[in-house]
Amino acid sequence: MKKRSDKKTKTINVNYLARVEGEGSLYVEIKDDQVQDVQLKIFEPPRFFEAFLRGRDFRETPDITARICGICPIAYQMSSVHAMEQALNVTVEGQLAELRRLIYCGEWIASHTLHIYMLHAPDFLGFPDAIKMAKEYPKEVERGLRLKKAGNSILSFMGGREIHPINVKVGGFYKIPDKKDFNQLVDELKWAREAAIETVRWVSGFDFPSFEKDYEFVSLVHPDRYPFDTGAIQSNKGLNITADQFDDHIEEFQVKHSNALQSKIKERGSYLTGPMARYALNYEKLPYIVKDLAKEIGFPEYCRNPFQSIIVRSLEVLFAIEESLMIIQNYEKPKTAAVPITPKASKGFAATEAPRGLLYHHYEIDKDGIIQLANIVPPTSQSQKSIEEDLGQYLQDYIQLPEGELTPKCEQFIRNYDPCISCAAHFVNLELKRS
Amino acid sequence: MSKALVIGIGNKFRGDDAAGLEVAQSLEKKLGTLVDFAYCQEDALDLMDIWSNREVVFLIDAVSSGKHEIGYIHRFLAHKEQIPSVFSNSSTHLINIAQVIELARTLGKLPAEVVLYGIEGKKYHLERDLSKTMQAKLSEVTEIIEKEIHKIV
Repeated sequence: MKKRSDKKTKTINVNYLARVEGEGSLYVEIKDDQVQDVQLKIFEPPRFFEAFLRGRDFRETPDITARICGICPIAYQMSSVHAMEQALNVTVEGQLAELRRLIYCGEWIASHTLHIYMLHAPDFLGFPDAIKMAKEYPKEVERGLRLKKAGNSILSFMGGREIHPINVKVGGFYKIPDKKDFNQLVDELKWAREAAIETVRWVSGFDFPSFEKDYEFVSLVHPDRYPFDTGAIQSNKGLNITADQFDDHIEEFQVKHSNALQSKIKERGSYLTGPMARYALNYEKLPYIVKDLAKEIGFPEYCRNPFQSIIVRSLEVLFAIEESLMIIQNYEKPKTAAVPITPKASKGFAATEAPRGLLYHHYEIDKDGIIQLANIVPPTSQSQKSIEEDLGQYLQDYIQLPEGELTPKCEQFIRNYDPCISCAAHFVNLELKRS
Repeated sequence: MSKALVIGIGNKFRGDDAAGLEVAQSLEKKLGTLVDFAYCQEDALDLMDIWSNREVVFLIDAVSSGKHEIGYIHRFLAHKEQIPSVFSNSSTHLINIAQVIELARTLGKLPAEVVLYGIEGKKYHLERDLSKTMQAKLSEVTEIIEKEIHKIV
């Protein structure tokens, strides 16, 4: 921890949030009791992967892009296969599309549960980490671990393995299950449904700081279903586009303090993707079990408080389990595991919903299917500007606190948004300068 | 009593982070009938499932303390002592090994005997190959850990 301080300027430096899943750092400058600058510095490897993808066969994208993130490999696989299928005029429908939703459910359950129990809950219960929390809340932590494992079991079942699954391909899957194969998942998912309900009730009892912002929420919106991998890109402030229009409306731009590009809506500015955005724009499509539980705990249909994102994630876990059970119940094995694909020179665009938000992919391939251009915009980049603005607004109310109290507030605030950044935000140093 | 279990930990796409995996693979060729082997890549929380119902477990991971030569072997008896921060830094695992061990200890899910080996590495970039120095040290590291396993099992 580094500290520099005089009476009127504070500079908070949270050094090195550095891994693929969200390494970076945080810098906050306060002068004359006003937040002057907030810089969330994230070093996003997708730039490297984009270069790595050029010259590779289009069929390799799901396996290569899955390596970008250990928490949400399915999101990268899904955005890449959808983009390639759009480029090659292929539509994956019916039970194959349902299996894609199923494997995405597994990722949401595992990723959200990791964040809820291991990273976020300790903040609200006054513990420095989940290990200390486990001493007083062992049953809850064990419930979280088992719930996460239930999500992992879907990933293993459908993807071949939990981390960086290998069964997803452009056009469908390499191998698909028989109906009877699902028996191994059902009992645990039924337990997980009850555990998810308990999770929602548990986190809804936490004390939440009062902070709200009038966000521009951006997420996929599907006419009938809560979104995973299909739907239009919409916002609560008028954005309504298809993925191939993403670059027309969303601008990526460089900031001096970060290797990662930030994003903004050209007409308006910062926006937020992720669970709060999905929930706000798609509440009506949630199954009754989720909506009824939200009503039971008095949770609104529209949440503007990022601290309460833990409740939204918990509701999404319940949704993903219910969705999984519904998909399994209705499953009939398709005749083929994948639709045939023939390469041609073309462009493809897709956006799907990673656990932490909208993940956009754009590819251009030549007549032989060799990738000429790849552009990947991860959710962390898209929400980065909003997070910086939010933190500046939030800290303004705590400006008089000593640095030792401001730092944990910064860390907790960042953990509201993204499990990957949250992981990295545990490695913090603080520099505080007053002038 | 269940067979002892050796778990190789690491990420084969992160340079020296694959050292634990590679040493475990080499040991499996030599000790495959004596002890069981398992591998854990990236999600260290899986360790609690992998080692459930085991009494003796050897964990082999890569670490980066910056204080030792590449190939130096850190050794800790995790069932007796708290794991130092060398296993918390530069981890490419979402929840690091030290946290999983401490969490397991808290929840009563730590095996009776857990020997943790940390192989000092230096290069943790996104690439498939170990550093040349690590490659040169692997057989020596494998031999040392093999002798240790023989002493215990």
